[in-house]
Amino acid sequence: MIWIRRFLLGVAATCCIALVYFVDPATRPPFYPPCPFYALTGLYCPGCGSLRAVHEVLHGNVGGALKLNPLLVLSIPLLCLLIVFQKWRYHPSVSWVALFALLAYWILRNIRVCPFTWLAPH
Amino acid sequence: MNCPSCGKTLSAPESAVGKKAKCPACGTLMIVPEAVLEAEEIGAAGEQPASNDYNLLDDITGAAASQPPTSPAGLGQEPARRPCPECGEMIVAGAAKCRFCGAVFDPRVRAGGTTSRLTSVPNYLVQAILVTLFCCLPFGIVAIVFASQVNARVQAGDMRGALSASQSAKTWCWISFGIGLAAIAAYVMLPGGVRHVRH
Repeated sequence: MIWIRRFLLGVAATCCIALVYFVDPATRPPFYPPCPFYALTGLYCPGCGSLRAVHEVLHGNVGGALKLNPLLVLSIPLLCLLIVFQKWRYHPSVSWVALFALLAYWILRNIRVCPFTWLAPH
Repeated sequence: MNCPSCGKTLSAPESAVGKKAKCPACGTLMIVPEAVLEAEEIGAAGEQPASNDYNLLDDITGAAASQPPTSPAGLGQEPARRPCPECGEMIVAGAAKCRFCGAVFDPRVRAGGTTSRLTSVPNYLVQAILVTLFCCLPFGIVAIVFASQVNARVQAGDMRGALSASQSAKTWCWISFGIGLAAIAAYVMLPGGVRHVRH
């Protein structure tokens, strides 16, 4: 049962990655839906730019991806580590760091002043 | 017994059973479990294979079907129950493993090593971070908060609390994912008005 579920999850993940690889999210008009939070509030959420960033990473352009969503690019290796090493997932500080990093990122990337604008898609 | 955090083998006096103790190696708080000697008596039947870790957890909210009665006399009637020495929930008397907190009583399963109590309460941290990054909504943050609670409660030995936080984390992951999907569906249905907004 768990293996069937993991297999389906793997297939779904592969399909999503292939879609993001082949269909560029930066084209206009955009193929993908907008971020609902951005569409409603005009503010960036922690995930804004993530599709474009993943697209850039998949095409080997890590520098371009860092401009779109730096936290996402940094979190890819970290999440892989968390998936491999189960024990780390249960370390209390890991989840608190994730929580505060995301909340701080959410706030900071909406400040339109110089060092923080690097956190927003540009 | 083993420390749930660093895995160091520890010993405690009989009088300390059920009380909180600090691991001398890493300082983690835990509750001293019942002696293995007693566990051998109750867990001798051990029908539950060790690999069924996740299936057991999936059945947490379901019926007692996940713990088959171990004595032939118990068939067709309510199987004998006893409180789990770890979390106090009522479980089948012959159970090799508690289906609420995941504590393992069968020494053979225990010796298998990989089935530790730590990994048997999923905290959905990775899923929570993923839905936060890709569904763009505040609900993923709620899931991360519950994931943190799972970790804190596992550390404190509060298995029942950890399980309820685990369920909440799972629920919020799905809520976030579902609303994300609904937003995509709404976008596809809508006329071109909002399409100039980029993700």
